[in-house]
Amino acid sequence: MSETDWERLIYDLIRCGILKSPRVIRAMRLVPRSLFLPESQKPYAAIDTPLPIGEGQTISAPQG
Amino acid sequence: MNEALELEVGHKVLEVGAGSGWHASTIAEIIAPSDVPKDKWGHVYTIEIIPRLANFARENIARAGYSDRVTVICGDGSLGYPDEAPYDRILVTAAAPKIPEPLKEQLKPGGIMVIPVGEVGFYQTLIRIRKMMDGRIIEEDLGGVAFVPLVGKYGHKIGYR
Repeated sequence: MSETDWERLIYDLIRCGILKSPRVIRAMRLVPRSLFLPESQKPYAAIDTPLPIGEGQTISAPQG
Repeated sequence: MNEALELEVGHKVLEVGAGSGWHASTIAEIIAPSDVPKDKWGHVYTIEIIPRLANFARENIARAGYSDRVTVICGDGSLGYPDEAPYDRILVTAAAPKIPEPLKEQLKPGGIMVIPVGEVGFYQTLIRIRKMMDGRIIEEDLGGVAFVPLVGKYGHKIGYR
């Protein structure tokens, strides 16, 4: 995932009306999901879906 | 979920289900923003029942720079975290069979809780609860979601695998 992919996803979520308030949007920009993923899942960080993090658990989808 | 929670700077937040620590860190950046003086900061307490994930979350949160605003506790989050209660906001990142009573009790009057409620393996309903100043609870249906099941005393009676 590149920084641009994450920016593009945030832009899409704003356009779809899912992200609205400036503080929530700012937090999404400052805290990219890729930092919290196992190495094998990092390429998918900017796809709007939950991803596996081990132990049968998932990381939230960005729209969550 | 962060929009539904109506988070404000200074809030004390309880998260049930730390997972990777990402959600807690995004909340930290809203209730304790890096560009606001530290004495105005709120704090996030996040509980994780799976020890390996609690460590994973702690490491991730430290690497992202939020250890000073997020505390990870390993334990049964369906019981809440009475040590720091009451909370301005509570979010549950796993689907509960019904809303756990301890979480209702640990919400401040005027507080908001967001929790997915429903069966395992199906879509669940995201519920927003507002606790009125007189203690009344008002529930609102925010639509369909799909989360892993909440386990623990007030969770689904299954293992977490």
